[in-house]
Amino acid sequence: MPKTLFKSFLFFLLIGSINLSGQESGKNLHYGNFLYAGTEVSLFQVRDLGVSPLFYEGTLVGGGAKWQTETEKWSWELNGSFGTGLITRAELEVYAARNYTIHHDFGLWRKIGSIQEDGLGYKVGIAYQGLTNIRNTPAFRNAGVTAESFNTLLGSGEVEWLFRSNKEQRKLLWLIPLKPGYRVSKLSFRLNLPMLNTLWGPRFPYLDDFTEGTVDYEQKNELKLGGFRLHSELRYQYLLKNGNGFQFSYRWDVMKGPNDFGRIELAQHNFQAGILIRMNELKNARSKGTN
Amino acid sequence: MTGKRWATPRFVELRILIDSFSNYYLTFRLMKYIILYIWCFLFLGAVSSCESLLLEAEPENTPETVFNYLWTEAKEKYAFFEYKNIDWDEVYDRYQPQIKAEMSQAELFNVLFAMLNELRDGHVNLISPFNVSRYNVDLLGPQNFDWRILRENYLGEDYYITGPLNHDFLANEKVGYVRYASFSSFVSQLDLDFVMLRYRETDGMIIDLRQNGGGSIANVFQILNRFVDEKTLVYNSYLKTGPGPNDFSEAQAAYLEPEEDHLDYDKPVVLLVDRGTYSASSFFALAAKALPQFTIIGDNTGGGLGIPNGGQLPNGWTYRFSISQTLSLDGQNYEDGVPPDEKVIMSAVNRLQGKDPVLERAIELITG
Repeated sequence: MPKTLFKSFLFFLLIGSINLSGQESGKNLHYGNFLYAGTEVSLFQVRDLGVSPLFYEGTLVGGGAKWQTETEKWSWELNGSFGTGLITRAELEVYAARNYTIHHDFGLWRKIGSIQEDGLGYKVGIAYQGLTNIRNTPAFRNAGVTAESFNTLLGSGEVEWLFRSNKEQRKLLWLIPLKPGYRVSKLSFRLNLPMLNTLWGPRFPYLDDFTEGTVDYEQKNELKLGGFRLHSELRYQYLLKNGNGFQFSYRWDVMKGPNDFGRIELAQHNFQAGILIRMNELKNARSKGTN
Repeated sequence: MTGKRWATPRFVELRILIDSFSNYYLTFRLMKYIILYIWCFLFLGAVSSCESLLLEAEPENTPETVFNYLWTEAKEKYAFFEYKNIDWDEVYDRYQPQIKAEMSQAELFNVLFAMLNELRDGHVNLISPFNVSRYNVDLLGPQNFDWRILRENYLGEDYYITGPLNHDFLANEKVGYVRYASFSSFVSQLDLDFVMLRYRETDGMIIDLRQNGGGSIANVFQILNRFVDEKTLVYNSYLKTGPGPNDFSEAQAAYLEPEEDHLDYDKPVVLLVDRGTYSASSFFALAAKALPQFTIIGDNTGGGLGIPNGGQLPNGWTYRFSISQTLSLDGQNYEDGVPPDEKVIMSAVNRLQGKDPVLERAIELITG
């Protein structure tokens, strides 16, 4: 599975790169509609205090897609991604659980000021962050499947740093030939602070209740308010002359459920790499520029 | 003079250098990158360990921590303190002084083993790499079953084995006998179809769950669904939902539902049980109590109607104990054993004679 994802990513990167290499330049290439497609790796840890005081850790591999829109005043994005892997704890014996995560996020930001030239810009907004986590654990002599979903409304602030450079000669970006012209890259850091945190999770701190021998999530899970979540993202975009580009992100996410009795805690360091495919006419992006 | 002095090659060089460094744009760019790199390193370094500030640390792995953790988990989650009249605080006072910082793993295990057996519960275990603690419920009563006597004097050696079910005709094919030795063995719909088809012309069926120590409750429903023609409530479970002694969930109803497109059985059924009939087998007996065509004979079952739940200690050992109560439809708690409708015990004399009085009484109930 991870190999297939990696190969798919390389394939898309190659196809994307060929199209990216020889078009006209623009100074405001960061404006527009983008479809992001990429892979991700998460260093993931989870602790279900209903069954263990110990953290289980593992590497999850997956991929995802985003819709990203950025204008001079507003930006918004819709994100969906998944990851899967084994989480383990070696403590005398190795206990392992297959873990699946699904991210479902949305955010809307208003820019404070506008970046016309290189420099800092700021955004404030609101974000919805959803993480559904499914654990299939054979440990502790009571195999069970547990599903929990953290859904949080967060206040969001972002600092972005825009770089423009005008390359006067042809050059290579890794193996990709680049024509002379403007290049736009952007580094941003986003911090999301929780306003309303909910957890749809087991009403009992147990992996499975076995009342009827089957898992009935409607009966087993309930929606609870409270808990805590903190999320941040460091993102780097490099936009090529045709307005497509590359995007690399590091996301840090930590959350814990609302109750002390069998509380669930999750943390992840999530690394993403992918391509940005421009979904609007390049003219629109260029018209906002000053070149 | 002054102008000339500044025009010498040495000063021209210096002026260019100063001009370069004082060029606002270049300085800004240089500073910008330096700040950026410092900021990135600080950020990555900070967040890589930030969750340790926000999430509670793992407890230390010491005998005292392990003992306290297990004791507290049991206090908050074990479901039968009140039913069994156990003072868990008093248990702490007796066992805690036995915990020493320098004690060996085996010594710690033995103290925890003894403490957990105060719960008198077959669903309680402590599992370490070198030993497993247990409470043997089946020894609380006689073994009401002898498989060899059954084979030698009742079934013969040509009985059928269909999946996990051993079965054959008895009493001139008037009775179908079905032995299910463990609920850990999955019973398929195909297995049940064959059994139902084979015994559909009999006057009644015997289901033998003696010395069946349990397994998956899913098999309880898989089998008993063949004995109802409409959705039937059979028991209610209450799960521990909080640390308080009375923090239980609302009733979680358990229903049998007829299997569409599969054969069923609507003749009288006699269920054979003994003290070795435990856990899922006791759930089966409890559910059978709600079905009018079932008669239960033998000894009290071993009980075990609390659903066992597992957990892990700070030192990695695992444990399990009961975290729920299951009550009959009339509100009875049979955690210590589901009583039979008719008590029949296999005596030592019966064994010597090669007789199974429980089975013979079941045949008698069906054939009249």
